[in-house]
Amino acid sequence: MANPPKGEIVPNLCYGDGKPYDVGHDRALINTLNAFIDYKSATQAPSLWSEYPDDTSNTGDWWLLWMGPVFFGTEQLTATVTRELTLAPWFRSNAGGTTGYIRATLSRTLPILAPAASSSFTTDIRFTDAYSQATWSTSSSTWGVGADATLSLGVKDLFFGFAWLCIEKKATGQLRGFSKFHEGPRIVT
Amino acid sequence: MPTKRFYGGVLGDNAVGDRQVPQMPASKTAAAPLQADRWARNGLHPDAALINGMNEACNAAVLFRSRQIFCSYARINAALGTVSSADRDRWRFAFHTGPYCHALFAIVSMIPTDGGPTLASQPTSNKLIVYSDTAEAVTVVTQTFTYGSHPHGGTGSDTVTDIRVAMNFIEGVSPDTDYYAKFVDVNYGRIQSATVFELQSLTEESDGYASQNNTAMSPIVSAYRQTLAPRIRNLWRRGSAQVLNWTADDPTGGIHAPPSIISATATNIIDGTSTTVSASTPGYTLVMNNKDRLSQSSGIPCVMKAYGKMSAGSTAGVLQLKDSTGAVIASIGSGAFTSVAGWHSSAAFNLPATTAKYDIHFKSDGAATFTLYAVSIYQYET
Repeated sequence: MANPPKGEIVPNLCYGDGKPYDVGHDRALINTLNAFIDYKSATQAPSLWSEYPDDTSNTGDWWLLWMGPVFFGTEQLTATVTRELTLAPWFRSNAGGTTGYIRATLSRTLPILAPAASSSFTTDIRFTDAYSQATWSTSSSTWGVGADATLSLGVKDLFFGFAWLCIEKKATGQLRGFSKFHEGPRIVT
Repeated sequence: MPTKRFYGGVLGDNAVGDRQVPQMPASKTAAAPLQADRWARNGLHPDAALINGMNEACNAAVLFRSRQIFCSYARINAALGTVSSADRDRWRFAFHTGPYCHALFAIVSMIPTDGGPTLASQPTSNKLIVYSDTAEAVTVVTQTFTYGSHPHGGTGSDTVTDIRVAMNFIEGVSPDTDYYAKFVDVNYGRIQSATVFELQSLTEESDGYASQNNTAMSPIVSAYRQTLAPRIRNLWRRGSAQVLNWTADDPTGGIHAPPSIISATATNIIDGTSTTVSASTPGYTLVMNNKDRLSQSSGIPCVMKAYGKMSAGSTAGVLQLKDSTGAVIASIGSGAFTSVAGWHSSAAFNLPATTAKYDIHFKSDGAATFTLYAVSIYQYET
């Protein structure tokens, strides 16, 4: 991670009668504002649970395990100023040597049932509005952290600033949550 | 209809501070970072565009970078089942409101309760209770989120299309204040997930927004900095993002009961078995890079709070945050947790300004039982 200029506690002596308008405090204010908006206020929401919900090996569809809204601030990202969510699962395969999969989707709206899906909360789902998705796989039966993946935060709700995180499994994938879950700084393109 | 506005109301003319404006002038559109090397160098004249840029960035930081204080992207497959007409405690968290917080806002998703035809007419719901004290005895505000009756007459066939989402303001909290909160299932209600975040305002909790309409002929006055410097300082010290929340799913018991321990050997709270720290023990990879200040050489000041209790007659429970080498970074020591469940706090500690893995361990004395319900860690600078 790059090392941008850090924030500072700008003192009261930078203003008042007889105090000069100086470039040093301007830089301190700029650096602190940038550091706050990009790093200090960045949403961080790792979540680990004791339980792991499913032991069944499903080979066809993805099964929805966990889901919920996550808030990333109400600023509206654009095509030229964006942010990414970096996340990494704490997962394993419940049968060593057999590959299990975990998929995370950040979606603007709630998912819907896939056509002809059976009626239960475990069923195959579809995403219908803006979404961003990442998949991990492992054949190891030892719990461990997956590689970092990034999801676009441009998919978040345009007014309230939250997105639905949907976590699914396929085959022998088992998950205890996301050990890393961090909103990145603004990316200007 | 909500009584609060999302970003607060409009100030009366007499309440607006010097060189400020009575309502939000900042665009919600994300702006690129300000370029110090372009605008603030020796030899350059003071520039109205820079003053406007800094003022807009400060307004936007307050309004659009408010923080999430809790979220639970929780189980939907095999979600918590057994319910009753009695209230059931679910998730707990601790937080400190930001310097310009004028309300909280919660988005909650709920699922129906399968329990037979009697539930077809039950007005199921959930509620969020915010407390001002560690014993959860003094209620500041309670907000209800209603699911209503079962969509299929009381049994079966529940799918993602049966999820109902409720949004509500949580009014009555004060800025820059410690609070403790919990979600509760009410009358057969089943909460599935939630996010709770702060709404900040410079009209509700200050004397207006920094002006963004300065021009080449505008005077350069001290009030510009007098408006900016304290606000940026306040945001940095008390308006930073939550670090993590951990909470038991079902504090009342069952297969998703809160973890408990009798052993005097510190043990991981997630798997309940690991007594050392390694890459294969469950822990949090915390990204704290660039969250420290220029003069902070030892990391970012934080606080850890935990809700737990001991079996009768003992105060031996200990909670520890350990880094990847197993060193204790923060702890709530013996003597804190008693037989009465409550929130307890660590001493202030610093998290290194790096990306690193941390495990949470707990232990007792080999005789008494220590039960842990929730842990919250947040940035907090005195």
